[in-house]
Amino acid sequence: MKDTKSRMNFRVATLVIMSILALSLTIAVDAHMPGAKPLPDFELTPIVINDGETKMEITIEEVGKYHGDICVCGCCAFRATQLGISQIWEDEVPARDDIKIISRLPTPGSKDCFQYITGTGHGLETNTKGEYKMILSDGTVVTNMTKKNLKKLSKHASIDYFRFDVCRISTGECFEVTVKEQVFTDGYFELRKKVKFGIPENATSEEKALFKSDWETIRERFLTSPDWQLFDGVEEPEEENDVSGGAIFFSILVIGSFLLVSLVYRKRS
Amino acid sequence: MAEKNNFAMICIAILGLVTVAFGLADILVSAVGDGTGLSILEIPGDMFRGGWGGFIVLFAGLFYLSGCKNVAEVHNASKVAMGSVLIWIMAGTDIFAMITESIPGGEDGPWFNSLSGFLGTYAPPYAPAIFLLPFSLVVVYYILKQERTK
Amino acid sequence: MKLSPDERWNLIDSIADQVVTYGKYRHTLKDAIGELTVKPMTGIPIAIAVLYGFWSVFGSFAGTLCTDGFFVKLFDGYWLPWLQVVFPGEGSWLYSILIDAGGMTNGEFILSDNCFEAFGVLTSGLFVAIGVVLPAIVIFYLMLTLLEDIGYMPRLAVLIDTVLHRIGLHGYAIVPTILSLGCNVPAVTATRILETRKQRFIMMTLLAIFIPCGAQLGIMEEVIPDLIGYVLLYLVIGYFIFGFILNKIVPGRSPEILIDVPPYQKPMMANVRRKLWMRVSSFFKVAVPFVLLGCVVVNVLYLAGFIQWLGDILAPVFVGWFGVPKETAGPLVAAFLRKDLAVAQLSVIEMTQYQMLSAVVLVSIYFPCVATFAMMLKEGWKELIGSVAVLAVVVFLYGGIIHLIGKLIGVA
Repeated sequence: MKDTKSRMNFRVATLVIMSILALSLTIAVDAHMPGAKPLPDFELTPIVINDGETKMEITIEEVGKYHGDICVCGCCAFRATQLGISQIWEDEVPARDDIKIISRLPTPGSKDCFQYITGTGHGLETNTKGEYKMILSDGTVVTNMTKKNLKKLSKHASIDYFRFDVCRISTGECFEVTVKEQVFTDGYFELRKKVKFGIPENATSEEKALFKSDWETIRERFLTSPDWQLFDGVEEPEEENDVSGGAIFFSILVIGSFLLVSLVYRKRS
Repeated sequence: MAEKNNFAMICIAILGLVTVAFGLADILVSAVGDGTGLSILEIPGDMFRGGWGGFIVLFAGLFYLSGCKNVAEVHNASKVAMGSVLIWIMAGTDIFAMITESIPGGEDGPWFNSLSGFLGTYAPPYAPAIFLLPFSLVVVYYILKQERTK
Repeated sequence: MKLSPDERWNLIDSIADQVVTYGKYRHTLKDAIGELTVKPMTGIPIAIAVLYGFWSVFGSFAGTLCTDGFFVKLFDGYWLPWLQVVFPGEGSWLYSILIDAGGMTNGEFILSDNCFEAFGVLTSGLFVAIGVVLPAIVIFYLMLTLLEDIGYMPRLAVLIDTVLHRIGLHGYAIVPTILSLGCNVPAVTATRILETRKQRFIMMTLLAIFIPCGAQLGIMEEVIPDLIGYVLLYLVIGYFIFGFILNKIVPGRSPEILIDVPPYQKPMMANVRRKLWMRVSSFFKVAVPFVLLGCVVVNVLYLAGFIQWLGDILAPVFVGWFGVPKETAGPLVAAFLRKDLAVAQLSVIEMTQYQMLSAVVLVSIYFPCVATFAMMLKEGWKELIGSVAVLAVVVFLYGGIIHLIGKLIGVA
């Protein structure tokens, strides 16, 4: 009898463990992209901040390690912070406790990235801490930042969710970073809804494959494209004119034309 | 005289081969759809300059090759001259496009371009026809000189 | 004084001795180059290169330098904002017709920020006429005149003679065809170069339907530069297909011609100047009043709700058969007055690339503009009625075929 009971307990325990594993696996699927291609070649400069007396460089790899993956939302949050800091502090190095980030994007990847940069994340040992808030477009302040809740909140994510305010607490200056619509592939958000949430119906295997490839494309864009291609309000830097090269060609052109014309007229006269 | 003709034949044949190669490169690159270049040389990737223009450069090369054998003979000389005319059309339109682009100051800028902007428009890279232009001029000069001595 | 035959021959001989020089004919380089341009094997690549040069210079001068470089800045940056401020009665009928038709958002009148969208007589009307059409026409006629005076056009006529015979025309039909790329009005007059009524009817019908005028090309270059090649491709294909059909069904003769090919020569600048001035000024006498009138009529029709009504009535044909939004009804009405204005109107309607392509082709093949219509009437009312009948069939069929092609390749 005792044997049967202990066998039953073992079975229940196995079932519970299996369920927990399965659940954690679905969360992992939600945050990451199983079977995604390896990262493309990219060069992203680190975000440099002062953590108290310590100057530190935060790289995208560190953010990825903290989150568990270098995902679309993590890359986007990293690039947005980098842009916001460069716009407000310009060449200065910001103090971590002077940085405030307000995000409208309720996803684990962006949350982990912002928390890592501001030092507000779980398990981070920092000298100082900045501020990080998640306020949705309708004004709802998100305090429950569990993966489950974020998943629920991001169900209807669209391009409007990809807006972030990077602020300098000491002066009150803020810069709003808005992601350009063309960064995302056509129909990406509809596809995401289908694949991740089965809305309005479950995705087919072709749609899943398309979503994976779109996801990789967008991640690559966030890792490799310049700011002006990713965010609104950033002007394309003017190409530096090769004045000397142009001057040489222009001189050849003028002298050549002059010689040609004088040659023709001399022959005629 | 025969030696001189042989030398002219070799030069024009080489020019023809290079021109054909450039024409083919133009067509192939525009078929792939993305322009490419090597330092100061640019192979245009669009259908207009690369595709349509590529055919013209290719034909210019074929004109050179078909006329190079006995350039002293008037029909062959005319083919070689026509090859040069095709190169002039290509290079001329490229240079004309540079000139028209270099004068205005741009959408948000002043009415006229700055000096650096003006000169910058003429900066490399250049399309193959621009590199072929001086050679095509020399070839025509040679043919005209030969025609006058007849 | 009466001369006997012998005396007459003696007189002829003495005159000939004085004015005729005898010698051995030597084939010159110029002659050999002339031959190359008429032989198909060598002439076709040369014609392709000449067309490339023509088109490239046209785009660089009219598009890059004049319109984009200076006129857009002048009209959008200075002229339009100044008129919007100094002209009283914002939102009124008169203001909409003369300055800016604008748009209503949440009951508020919003001013346009560029001359393509304003549609006022003094804004869009002048911008289209001076800022877009003038440079396009000047450079087009300059190059055409140079080609004529150099002596290339007769060679092109010889070269293309065989092809044009397939559609019932002959080599000289290239003259009205190319003139038509400048303006259809002088091109209709130039159809008199063709000998028979059949040829003139085919030519008039084809150029009224399939040849876009310089003004239209200028606007296309400005608003749909990426699609212009495809639009022209559709028009060229249509020109030959419907020309072939017309040749089969229209009764009459298509005789052969003998073309006198002059030697190549250096053009005389005085001649070029005179020709250019004559062509550009006569174009402007015809075109500018129609562009301005077009703006007035289209604005009045819009304000009176006629365009909306027409769009609603024709919606099944536009959406179902042609595959374009019903809003394109307005530009099609405007096209009767000026096709260039109609293309400008199309550019502000929201549609896919293929719909834009179909709509521009439709506007191009749709009814000839009223000025061309008047010229065709002068040539004979029977021809005009015939052309209009052919046109109606062509628009309906070709519009449907383009839509079908788009469906088959999955872009419509």
